[in-house]
Amino acid sequence: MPKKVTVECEQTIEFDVRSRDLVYGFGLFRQDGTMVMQMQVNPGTDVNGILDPNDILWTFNHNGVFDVISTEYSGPDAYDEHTGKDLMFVKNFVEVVGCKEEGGKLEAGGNTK
Amino acid sequence: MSLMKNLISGTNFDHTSLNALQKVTLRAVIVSFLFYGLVALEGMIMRMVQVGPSAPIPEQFFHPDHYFSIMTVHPIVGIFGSTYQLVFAAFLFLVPFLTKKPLYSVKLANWTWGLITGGTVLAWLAAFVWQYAPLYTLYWPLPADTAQFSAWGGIVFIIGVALIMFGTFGFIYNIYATIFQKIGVHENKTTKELLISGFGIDGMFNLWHKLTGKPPYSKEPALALPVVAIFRGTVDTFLDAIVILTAGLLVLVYLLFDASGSPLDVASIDALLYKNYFWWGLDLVADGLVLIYVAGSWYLLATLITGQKLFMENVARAALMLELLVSWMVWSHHLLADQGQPEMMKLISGEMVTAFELLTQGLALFITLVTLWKARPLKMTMELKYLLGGLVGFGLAVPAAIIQADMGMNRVLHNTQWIIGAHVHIALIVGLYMTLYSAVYVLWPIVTNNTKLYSSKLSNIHFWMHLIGGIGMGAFMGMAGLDGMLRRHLYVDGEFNTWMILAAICGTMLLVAWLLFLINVIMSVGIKGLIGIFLPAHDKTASYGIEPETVAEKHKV
Repeated sequence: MPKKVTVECEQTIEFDVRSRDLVYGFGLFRQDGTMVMQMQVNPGTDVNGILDPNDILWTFNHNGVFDVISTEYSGPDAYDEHTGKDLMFVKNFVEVVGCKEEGGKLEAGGNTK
Repeated sequence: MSLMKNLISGTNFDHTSLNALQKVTLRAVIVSFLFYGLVALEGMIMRMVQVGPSAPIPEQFFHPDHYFSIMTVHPIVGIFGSTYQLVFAAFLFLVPFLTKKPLYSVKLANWTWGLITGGTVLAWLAAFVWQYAPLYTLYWPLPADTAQFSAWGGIVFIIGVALIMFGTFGFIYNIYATIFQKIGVHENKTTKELLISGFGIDGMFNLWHKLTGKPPYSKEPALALPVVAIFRGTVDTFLDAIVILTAGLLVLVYLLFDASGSPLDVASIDALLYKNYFWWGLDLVADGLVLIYVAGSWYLLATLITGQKLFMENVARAALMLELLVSWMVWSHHLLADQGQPEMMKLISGEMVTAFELLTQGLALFITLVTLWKARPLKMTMELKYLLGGLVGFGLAVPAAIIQADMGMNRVLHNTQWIIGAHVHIALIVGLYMTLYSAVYVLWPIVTNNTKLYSSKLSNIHFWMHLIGGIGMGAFMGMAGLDGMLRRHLYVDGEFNTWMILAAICGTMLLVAWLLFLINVIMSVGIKGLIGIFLPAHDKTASYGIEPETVAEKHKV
């Protein structure tokens, strides 16, 4: 997982998430704790040629810095045994720049991938 | 002195006057309410953790293994130990009562509550002793993840759940064996006639005949409408038990191989396929059974309270048949966030069929309300109050779920406190439990041989605290969900503590309400009576309100 992704306003991003062991979730959250979007992340076992995809296209229309939280429970090991802190929490994973305050791109331009 | 007298001997309760059917009913009801208290305590412990470090609670509850162990057993004790137990007890009494036939087997009914109680205790111990915590969803391969959990804890947990399912099979067998007994009013009925009535098909034919101007197909259906609901709902109870049992068996096989030192590869099972299988089974209970059993209970309570015939009875019968399609096809609403789930299944099963529940549940609500409305003026008795509370509960909880059963809304609501609060807890605590409390008040004089309730004031306080506490707790959890609070997540810093403090206040009301109800029951039957309920019945009669000859005839056969 990259440390931080910077995204231009109205850019469409494909989040393609893989798990090798358990079911997790992938959720983007604003700094005030509210959720932008989420999806489930099923383990890619590729049994009998079936590989469950965990991907989503998302277009960002507002500036901001977003955190990643696993939205599905994957056992107590996802937390610090003593403090209970979430070990899978990724602070400031996505930063969106170049949007107007009310949303939408500052200047005209097409979408990029 | 009178307090002491009530505490020991109750009001006018005499356990020796109860027959075998009454006793087995009361045993399950008592155990159910004790488990309810345990669930309320567990809920309050988790809520205190969510409130944050300032909460007056020992530090150990903030540890993830401890917290999630509680979260794992909370629904097991709540759904199986308490709700299943209470519903089964009510129906094992009502089916003989309504069909005017004896229960097929009181012994089997005793095994039912015994197995469910024992199984619930075992599952609880697995979490308490070994901290086995894969949550009730058992998402593959977490329950078989022995890097995080003890295999032995898992084995004990699965055996516990299996015992609950065996108890459930006992209930199912008893219900159908009672319905298909060809004695009493059903002496001359064929199995085909009972099946047609049981599935609500006679209601459909009656509607069709009415539309085409023919005389009714069946003027006096073989089975009363509430029995049809029980008959129909029990099909789903059976299928669900099969799904839970086989999922448990899968986990058990993996755990046993692990314990023997030669673990199997968990990757052999596709996680998404497993989720589909699991949710299909679970939704037979969560959507099908709750709506069907509840609709049947509303119809029964409305007719008993008003003494009138049910409004639109044939439509109600036919709708129960229609529920079969709905309850078997709704499960994909749990998989709207799974990108591998086919889009068409999300659309048809997850959105369209699920939205149909608004219609079936709405119809049941409408029929019940009109039946009550037409019988005005009605005295606002405890049973009527609770019935109205139950209607309010589902009136709030079902739309809350339909809002989330939308691919767009699901993106921001899935796995948040919205679904578990605004939907599940309001549906169960307000919708289901208030309906069941209404049934308890209706059945109380019948099952206890007219025992005087200790205090109607306590009953009233219980009602209001339960109603306000239940709606409040669910609503504040829902609001936290809208603010991004997840449902299966540990928050140790009080991140959402405003909502959680408000939910904790309402949760405390629920806990106090339960205590008041418990006090009211104990003061009515007394500790002596309470123990007496668990002693063998002198009167072995397995029915209530039937002429003795009918029972005698049965024994001759």
